[in-house]
Amino acid sequence: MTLRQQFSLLTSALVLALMTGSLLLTVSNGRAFFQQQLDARAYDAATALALSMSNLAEADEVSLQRQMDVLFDRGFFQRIELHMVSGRVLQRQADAALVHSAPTWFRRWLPLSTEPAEADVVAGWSRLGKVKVVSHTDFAYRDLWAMVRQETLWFVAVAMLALLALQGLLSWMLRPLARVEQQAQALCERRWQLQSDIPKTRELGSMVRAMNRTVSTLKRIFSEQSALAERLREEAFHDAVTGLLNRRGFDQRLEHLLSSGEGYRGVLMLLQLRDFARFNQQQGRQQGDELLQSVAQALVQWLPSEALCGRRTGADFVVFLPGSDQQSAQQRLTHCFEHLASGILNDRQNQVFHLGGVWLEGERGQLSQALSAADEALRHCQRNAQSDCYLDSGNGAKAASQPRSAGLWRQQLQQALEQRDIELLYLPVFTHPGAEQPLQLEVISRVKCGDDWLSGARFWPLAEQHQLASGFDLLIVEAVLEVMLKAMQQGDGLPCCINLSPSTICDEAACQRLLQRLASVPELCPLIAFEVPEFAIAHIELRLQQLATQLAEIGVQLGVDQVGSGRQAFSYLQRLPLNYVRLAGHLNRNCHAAADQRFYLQSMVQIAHSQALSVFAEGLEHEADVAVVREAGVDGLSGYFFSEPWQAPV
Amino acid sequence: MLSLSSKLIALASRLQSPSRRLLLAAPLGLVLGLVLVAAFGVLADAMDWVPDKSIELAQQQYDEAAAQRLRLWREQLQQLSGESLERQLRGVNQFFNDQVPFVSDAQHWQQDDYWASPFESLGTHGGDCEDYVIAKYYSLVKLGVPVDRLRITYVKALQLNQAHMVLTYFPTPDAVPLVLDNLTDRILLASKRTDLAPVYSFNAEGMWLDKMKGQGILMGNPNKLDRWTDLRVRMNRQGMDL
Repeated sequence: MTLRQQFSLLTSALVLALMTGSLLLTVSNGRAFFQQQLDARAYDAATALALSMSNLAEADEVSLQRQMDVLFDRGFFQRIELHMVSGRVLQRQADAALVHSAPTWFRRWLPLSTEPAEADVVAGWSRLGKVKVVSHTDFAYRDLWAMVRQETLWFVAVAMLALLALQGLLSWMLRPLARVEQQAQALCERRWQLQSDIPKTRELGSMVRAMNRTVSTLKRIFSEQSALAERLREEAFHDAVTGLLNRRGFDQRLEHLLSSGEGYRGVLMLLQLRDFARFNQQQGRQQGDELLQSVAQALVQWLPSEALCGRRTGADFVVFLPGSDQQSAQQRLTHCFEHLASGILNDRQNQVFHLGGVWLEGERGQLSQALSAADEALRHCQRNAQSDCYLDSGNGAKAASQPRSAGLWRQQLQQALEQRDIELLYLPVFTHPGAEQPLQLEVISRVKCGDDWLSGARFWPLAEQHQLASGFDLLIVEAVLEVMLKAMQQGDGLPCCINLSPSTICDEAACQRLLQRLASVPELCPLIAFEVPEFAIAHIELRLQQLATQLAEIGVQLGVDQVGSGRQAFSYLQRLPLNYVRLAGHLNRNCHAAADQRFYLQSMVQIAHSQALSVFAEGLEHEADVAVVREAGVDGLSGYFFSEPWQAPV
Repeated sequence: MLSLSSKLIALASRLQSPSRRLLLAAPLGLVLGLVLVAAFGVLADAMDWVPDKSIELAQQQYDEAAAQRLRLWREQLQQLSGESLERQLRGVNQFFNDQVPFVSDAQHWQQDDYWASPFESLGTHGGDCEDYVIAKYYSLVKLGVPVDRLRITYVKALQLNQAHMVLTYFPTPDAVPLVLDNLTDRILLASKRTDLAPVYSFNAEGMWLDKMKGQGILMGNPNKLDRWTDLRVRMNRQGMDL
């Protein structure tokens, strides 16, 4: 029972009791009054009649009878009798005076007694007889009944009004309570709501103020924690001078990329400024730092967002630029060189620099091999005393694949889309090592392009480039739904997680198609999760917000992956209605060895948990890392340590 | 008192007639005891009619003489109880005519018309015609005269040309009543009282509807214009129930 109902009930009962009591009192007083009036009238009439009879000159029966008639015909008396001393009785009597005076139950409930009033009739000294007069109760009942009816009507009207007013008053008084409830609800959904309208009622007012304080405190704690994590990330993985990735940050990212198993293609470039130590000595450290910052800025300006860029030591920069083929890689390397040579490192600066690159392509690779190959290319071009650049084609055997033109790519992709040439792999996520059932299957897709199967890492940039990403997303969703439906028919619920590309989220028509398809299979919705990469959030947040709300309505989950990899502020975690986050794989790489990394991991988990989000870790390969990640409180684990991606979902 | 005791003993001996002897021979002592209790019962009644409380009150409110007059009244009632009706009528009439001097209400109570209780009349040593009637009515009713045979009668005293009140006694309902008057000590048939013209007589019981009796007195808030009620409430306070 709600507080309002309890109040209402209590007050209604009170009003009812008061009104009923007042009604009963009125009725009983009314009855007493009418009774007294009836008695008084009977007595007065008896006395008056007896007196007038006593003064008759000739007291014969006819005269006496007429005297009684006069009084009786007035209509107020039920019975008038004259008992003569001789034993004769003269009387007039009538049963009912009015047709409808009051209902029978009412007469029974409020009896009015009709005692006869008596008075002596005398003639001179001797007694003639005795007059008895009984009043008629009909008139009293009529008036009493009318009084009760009016009183009851009035009572009902007042009670209704009072209850209405009470309802109004209660809902007005309890409105702050409802608002606090909303506030608490919002808090559970990670929205910080403050009430500006403090109620005047003291208890309610302090409650609302306390609630506001709680909300503010929680908000501050979240902000502080986010800021701390962001600073930790900055210190652990970024270079203080240039803001680029530091050596460890770059190596971890690249190693994760190379060993993720999804395949890699791109060029790894090393940039070195010659004799930077001397520059530092001559120009001073500050000038040196400024030079480094300018170079970093120029690189960041020129590089696309998916590229990795870092400063290794001194004046060594390193860049990994994903690309489709070796020929375009050569073009980009040259372009990068020219961009620097004509800009910040032009002849006037008198600063020689070398840019060496190596083409990397394969399924799984080693970081150290890649770096030493790039180093070799750098040393190769450093043979030139002037600024120069050089691309090493890597392990030449792999370079056999024919470069394809943009037109051909597009044609092949469209063909794949039409023929549904896709293959799905399932990477299981477990709650703990040794768990039998996976918590979730992360769907990994491969697409057949021409004669090759392209991995996701290779294929998605192409699909985005040719504006086919949303088509592939819908195709994959369709394929996954089919698999899930089949499993469902066999009694297995497969929780699947599908990546959505940012361009799909920005495409309103595609979102509508997706939502319609999902609405047609409501039984699967709770098993589906979509995820988007963290680096894309900054650009698509508004659209994502909209889609997230719609997905939440039909029970589909939403997550963010590659969390912690970019330099994105964590405040989006409380703006978006998310269900989970998947930490970037490189964060847990070798985390058992680095205290600051462990600490960063820990704070990421805390931030997510403070927002009631689940935290998953991916790309785990070593037992030591698994132990550290589990200790940090992660809810789901995946990676080669547990299992390779499955060909079939079960 | 003596005559009453002898009467009761005579009654007891009559109960011991041969037919009842077997039944009643044994508890003779018990019967004698009952007789004694009955005798004291009469005594006790008189104590109730003029209770000690009233006498004490008179002493406080008036003086020792007033209390003495009340005691005298009680003794008179004690003597008259069990006597013949004729003696009772004459005794009560004589007692008040002797003990209470006539004083008009205007003089005595500074009011036009005041119905004083016997306690007040004896206490203040004065009263007018109504006060005699009331005192006599009370005494006779307490002595056991049926209420229905007594009437309070408004009359006109022809020679004095004055409003007057007397107490009348009806041996039977249709008889000519006897008149108890403070103007004369003799109790005469009404037909002989040519000096009085009857106006109206009332039955004191009828003035007071049965079920209202208790209430009015208990509430202590009677109608001041209803003299009979007013009187009854006052008498109740003075320890006497009319």
